[in-house]
Amino acid sequence: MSPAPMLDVRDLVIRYRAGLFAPRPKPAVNGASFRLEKGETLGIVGESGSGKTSLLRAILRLLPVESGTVRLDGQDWLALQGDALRGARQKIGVVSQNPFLSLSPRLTIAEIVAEPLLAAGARQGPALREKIAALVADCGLTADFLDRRAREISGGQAQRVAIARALALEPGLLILDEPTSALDVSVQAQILNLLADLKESRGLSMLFVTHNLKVVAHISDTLLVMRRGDVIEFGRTEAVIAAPAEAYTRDLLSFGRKAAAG
Amino acid sequence: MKKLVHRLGWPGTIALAVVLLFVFVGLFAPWIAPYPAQGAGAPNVLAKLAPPSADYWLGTDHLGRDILSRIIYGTRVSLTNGVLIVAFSLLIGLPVGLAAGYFGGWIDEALMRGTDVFLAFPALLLAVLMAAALGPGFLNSIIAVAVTWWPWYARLARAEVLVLRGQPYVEAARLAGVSHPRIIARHILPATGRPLTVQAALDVGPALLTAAALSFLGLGVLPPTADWGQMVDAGRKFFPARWWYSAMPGLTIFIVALAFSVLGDALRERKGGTVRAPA
Repeated sequence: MSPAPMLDVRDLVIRYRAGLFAPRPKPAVNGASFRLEKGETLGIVGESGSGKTSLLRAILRLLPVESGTVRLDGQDWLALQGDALRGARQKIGVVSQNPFLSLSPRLTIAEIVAEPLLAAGARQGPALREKIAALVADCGLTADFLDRRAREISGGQAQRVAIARALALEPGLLILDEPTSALDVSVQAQILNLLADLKESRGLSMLFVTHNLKVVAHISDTLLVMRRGDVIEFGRTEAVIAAPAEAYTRDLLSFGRKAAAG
Repeated sequence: MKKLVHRLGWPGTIALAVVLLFVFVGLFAPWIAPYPAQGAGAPNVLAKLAPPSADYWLGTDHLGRDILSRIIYGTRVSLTNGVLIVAFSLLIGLPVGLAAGYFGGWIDEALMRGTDVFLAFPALLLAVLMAAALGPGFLNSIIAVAVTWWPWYARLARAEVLVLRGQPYVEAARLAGVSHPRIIARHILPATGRPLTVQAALDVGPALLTAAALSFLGLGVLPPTADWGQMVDAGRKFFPARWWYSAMPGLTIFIVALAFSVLGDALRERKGGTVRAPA
């Protein structure tokens, strides 16, 4: 038996509640199962409405789950409640789609990156400041940025800040929700390279959600394709891309190629 | 000065000046009033109900007290009334609205249905009932009006929080393991501040007006303390022959209420303020 995977999801069903007397809607995620090994990157692809965001929000415990299990590093993740959950969230870093919306407009970069550290019990002071500067430097920003506010920096810089914040508590798992789709192409490449470097240097596992198959093929070890709530494909990236089992994946792939060619 | 006019517009600037003037007058009443002793309540029976003249600019009341001095002293009561009513309302309404909006679910239901009970009564009627139950007096009349006032702040705060709670940066804080009290203090409260202060500024005028209505009905401060609403009421017996007794304090109430409402509008629509968060 190999060591416990970073994330082990089994038969996960998510269904949004309709009205009291409304018929039960089709589940947003219908029995998803997959594993993410330590130090690997899992790409989740699918068109909008495929359930990938619901799946992600459920793993982040922002949405209730109807049935199924999620194990994080061997621990029953769905059983945690209240303060235990709040503490355990340190194991997951999150970077969301729009960097400006995910950074408070009222705080400086230093305050934003300090937030998870302070929540985990760190004290204000020069040591904290140094740690923040180091984190921000790891993400390719100089210390000049620390006292700026989110609206004073560019999209790519803001996304670097978001990544620095996500890594502040040295999580084992980094969850990225379309981290590059709000950025222009050259900046996208920089952010992807940064993520690849960080994964290497920190031994991170990553869960990368995107609708852009080209990006995901570049960065992920395993690939999961979703469509209308169903997992239609899950396997090593090379295998899925070389021999897509489903017509839908072939469509996605050929669309990706066309986009790459065009 | 130019900047201020640009931000608030002329009506807003004038309204602000009027409000500041009344605040100044209230603060320095003993030095400004021509007859400080009469303003504080000492009778002056030699000049009962004298019409406006060089000695008594706005005339005198039935005890011969200078109406201008009484109005100046009444400014203290009225302004503190207005400000304290709003402050008390914020004190109750803000926490209720924050909790309801932030935690949602049954907490939201329980708090907001409770709030609806207070909103179901006509505001002035409820204030009169409360004041009658508590008895007349300065603090009692403030509490009576605040009881009818806080639900609006609760609703406003809740609406603001509902929007903020879904903001990705608030969600990011939650995902970073930040505790609820800390999220409320760091992210929610600062952002609800602006709309609530505007509403509070808008409300000082109407609150002061309601307090004046209560004291007109004899449920406000007790004589000999000067109060505008109470003066209007006292002057009714001598109206219209001694018109100045009711008219002067009445006119003052009108001016102050108007100034606060114009200022509130100007604040709500002010230009060139702090840059708002994108989207």
